[in-house]
Amino acid sequence: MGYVAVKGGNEAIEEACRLFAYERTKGVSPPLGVDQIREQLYLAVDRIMSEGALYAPELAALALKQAAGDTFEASFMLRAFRATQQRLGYSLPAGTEKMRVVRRISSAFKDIPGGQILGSTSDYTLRLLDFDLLGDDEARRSAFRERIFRHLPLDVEVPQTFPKVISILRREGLLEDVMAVEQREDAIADITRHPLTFPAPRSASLQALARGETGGMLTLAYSSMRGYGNIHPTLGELRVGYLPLTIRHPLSGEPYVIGEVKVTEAEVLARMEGNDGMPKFSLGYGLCFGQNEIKAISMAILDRSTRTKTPKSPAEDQEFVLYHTDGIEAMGFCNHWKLPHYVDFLSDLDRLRKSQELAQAATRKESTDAAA
Amino acid sequence: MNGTDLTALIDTMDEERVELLLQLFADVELTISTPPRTGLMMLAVHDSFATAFYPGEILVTEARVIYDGCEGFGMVLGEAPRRALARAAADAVFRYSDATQVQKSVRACLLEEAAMQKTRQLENGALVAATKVNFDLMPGA
Repeated sequence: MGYVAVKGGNEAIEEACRLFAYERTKGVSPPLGVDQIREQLYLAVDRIMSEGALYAPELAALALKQAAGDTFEASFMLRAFRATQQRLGYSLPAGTEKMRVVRRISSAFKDIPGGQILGSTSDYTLRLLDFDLLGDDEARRSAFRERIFRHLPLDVEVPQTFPKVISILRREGLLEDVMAVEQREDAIADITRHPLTFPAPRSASLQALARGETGGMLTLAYSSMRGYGNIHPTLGELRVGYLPLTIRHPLSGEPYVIGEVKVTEAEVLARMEGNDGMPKFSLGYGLCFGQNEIKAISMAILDRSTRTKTPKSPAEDQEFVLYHTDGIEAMGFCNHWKLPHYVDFLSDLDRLRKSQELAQAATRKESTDAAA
Repeated sequence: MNGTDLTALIDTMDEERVELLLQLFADVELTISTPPRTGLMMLAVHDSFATAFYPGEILVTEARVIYDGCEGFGMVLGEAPRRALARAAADAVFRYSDATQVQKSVRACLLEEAAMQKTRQLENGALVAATKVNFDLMPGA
């Protein structure tokens, strides 16, 4: 059998693309609307936006439909779309104290200023299948909406913004408060314009983590939590809310709010360290587009673990973490193994056959020598 | 609410109301100086150490219109050319030096929108408020 370099296959490829699109349409169910995906599968949409590093709910929903539910492919599409668009500018740096909060919890303190707000979460569900959803229809939804609003005390208001929980620790001098002088940055790094170099500045590291793949980040953060590293975190605060996207009005120069962007933010308190002989809690920080709490917490843990001065495990190695958590790059590299490697493999085969011939010749020579 | 705060409401207005708003400019001479175009705005955020970083970009649409020599700027989230034009037109009439009838009409429309959005926010806020935790101490604690 011969192994040779090939070209061609265009028609087969085109048919394969058509077959992929056909698989989505061959069933008898009505077509899935992009608005349905955006509204009802919003956590998947959030994840795609975060990993694609582009906040565009409509397009993320479209990408999920086109990718038949594959979030890697959908994030890839979003990032590819991003490359076709001109960058019009940069927002004014937003402080998350201004976030319009819809969920906010702390596992460090019971009583926090403003209170613990559970918001919308699946944390306390039983993870048992809800077979009633099989009969989901407008009548059922109306009844549910009517029920949920019936006993709602409309006079109870939650403040729109909350002070940070960690400010309590900071006020008491229990938390590292600022970055060391050598870690401060004059300009914000942008890894979409300049490739990562190591050690990466903090802004580059946070940007890379913010667009990382949730599963990959969780894996590495979990390894650290389990002992392959030394970060045993306490969740200082987890908040989900809407951050104003503010720029300077190009004509008046005044602050101009374009709209609000949903984000998740996590601050984890980790082991005590002290540069000046005074032990303090250290902090890990995570923030990503949409509601993706596992990712934000994992990001915070990895932010902290990669600042370990003498890394001993993968999750503490900044280069290892940042190079292996970009889902689109990782997925692309994994997928490329499906492309023809006929010449590579032919070379491997030749080498293997030659090695076997040499081994057989050596065996024969040993036998001959032994007989003599 | 100042003009910029009012025009910010256009970003989340229902599409039908955006069209109603645009109709207020039907008898006004507006020149589109920059037609709506989509692009990206990079979001900058301060982390807990006051280090600014970029979590990602946001798809926006921008447009500019001129009203009687006064330029207005509109930028909204997503791909929404009509919405961007509405915001640019509203910005232009608010930036115009004299109070005009169209300015009054646009202000009234946006104040009505502000009231509607406030009601929606109160409803959603009440749903969130209902999830506020009231801890009870364990016996003996």
